[in-house]
Amino acid sequence: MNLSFLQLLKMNLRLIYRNPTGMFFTLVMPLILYTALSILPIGRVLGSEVSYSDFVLPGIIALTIMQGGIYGLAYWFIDLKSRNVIKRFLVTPLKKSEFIASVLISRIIIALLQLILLSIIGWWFFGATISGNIIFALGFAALGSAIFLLLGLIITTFADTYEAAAPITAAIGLPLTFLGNIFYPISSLPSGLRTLAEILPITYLVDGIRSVYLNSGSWSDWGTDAGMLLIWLVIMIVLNLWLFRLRS
Amino acid sequence: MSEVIIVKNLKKTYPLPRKNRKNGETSFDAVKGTNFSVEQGEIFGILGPNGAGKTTTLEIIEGLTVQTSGTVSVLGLDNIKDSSKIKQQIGVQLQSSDYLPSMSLEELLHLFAGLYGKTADIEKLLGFVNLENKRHSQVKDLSGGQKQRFSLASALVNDPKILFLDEPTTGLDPRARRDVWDLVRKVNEQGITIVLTTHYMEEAEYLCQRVAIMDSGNILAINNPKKLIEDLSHTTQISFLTEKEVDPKIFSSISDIEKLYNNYPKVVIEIKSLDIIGDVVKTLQEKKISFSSFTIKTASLEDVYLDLTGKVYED
Repeated sequence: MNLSFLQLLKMNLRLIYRNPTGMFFTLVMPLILYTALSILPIGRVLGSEVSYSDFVLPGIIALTIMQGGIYGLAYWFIDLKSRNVIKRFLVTPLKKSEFIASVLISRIIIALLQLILLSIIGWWFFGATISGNIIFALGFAALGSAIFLLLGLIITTFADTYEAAAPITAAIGLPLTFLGNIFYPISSLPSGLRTLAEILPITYLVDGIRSVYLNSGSWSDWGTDAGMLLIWLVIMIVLNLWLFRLRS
Repeated sequence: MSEVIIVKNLKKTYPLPRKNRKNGETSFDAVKGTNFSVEQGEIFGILGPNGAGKTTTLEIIEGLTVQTSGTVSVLGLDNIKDSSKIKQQIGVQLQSSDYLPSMSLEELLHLFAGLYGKTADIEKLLGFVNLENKRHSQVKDLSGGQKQRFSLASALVNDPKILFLDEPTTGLDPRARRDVWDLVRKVNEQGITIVLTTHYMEEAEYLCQRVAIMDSGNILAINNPKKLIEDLSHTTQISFLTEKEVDPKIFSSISDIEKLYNNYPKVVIEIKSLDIIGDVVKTLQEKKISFSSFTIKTASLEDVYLDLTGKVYED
């Protein structure tokens, strides 16, 4: 190991914050979406005791984390691959595993920052309820981020160009966005779709954070969610070991 | 002199994508059992048209690709087993590589040096390739020639023993190409062995002490470019047009003519030594044969390629 892992991590973070469009989508867009949903009187429709702002905050956090993996990482990686940037690293003594690990960890750090930022805005401006311990919410964010980043890596194995990746990410991203417990509870879905929603990792990511924020935040509230996400993490790791290639 | 790279019976077979399969063939032999070695301190060129297997050969030596069979030893190390030890000691300029966006040249050099556990002397490196005033610029703001020079600097961050250049001047204008050539020579003067691929004949002739001519996965000849040319049956060709048809017998007194083609009004004479040109002209004047469009063409690597493959070289 030559360049310290920390330096590599720093480089990756620097690349993220120096990309203005990327920053817009990772930080500004979710804030705008959350603010809009909090101000609009959508919540009444659901007729629950919880305000819609409280309800949707964990959803927006999870949505942002998911997008960071299947859009953010996948497109960035495909771009680097198509311009032979990654190949240039492979002729140095840098190990592939170190390179991938630094990319993943830097982006998990971004996911944690997204959770913190959205939560602060929610708490400050919209009086969002955060009743449980935020450490557990950060744990969910890290777990969910790892799952969707790994999913993003698999997408890059099947798509060499942006044009090839766009339909794949859309096909994966849309159902996750609209069936995954983000904007409304899955109990309001028709039974067929609900069965599907009960498999999706995003459902459990949202539910886990929501349990920490809105319920007492004890183990019994979010144990199932954490369990389902761990299963998804194992699936993603296995799929990557089987399918992922750094070079096409 | 010692050999720093030894390649033995190198073969690389790629599976063919389904859509490119013809006549039931399922694989494609990019390199078909090549043998060569590179001596310490030389500039060694692999010359051939696109698709000859040059890049594949280079990528196997660099540790980017694994061969199907054969052995490769670099600085006494096995290319598969000791890949990371080899990578520590070589510098590589890829055919077309780009760099991470939004980073300055200085930052990129620091980053690459870090990957080798070294500290980059930014001033020295950028000064060497004449980019010292660009240290805060980004790669996307450089011209083609500057980009290629930067890529050379980035391949030198680890003080490599061997430098690999894959088509270092492809797509550059003549001026920028010249600059790269000068730099390559300067690097070589510091004792660094250089292995380069090129499809430009004049590049190989100008830079390389030895060239391997490669075509369709095979190495056809390896030698000093001048020797390769000298070994041709003819090294010089003279041709001219005559007013009247000439009898080739008038040249019979000149002994060193290799071949003579008389195709009125054009006469083509292939010779080995330039001294004969005077004799040819004298004979024509003595016989009062008026001639025009007298041209002398010395053989180049292109003629060597034509001789070896029977094909006209197209780059």
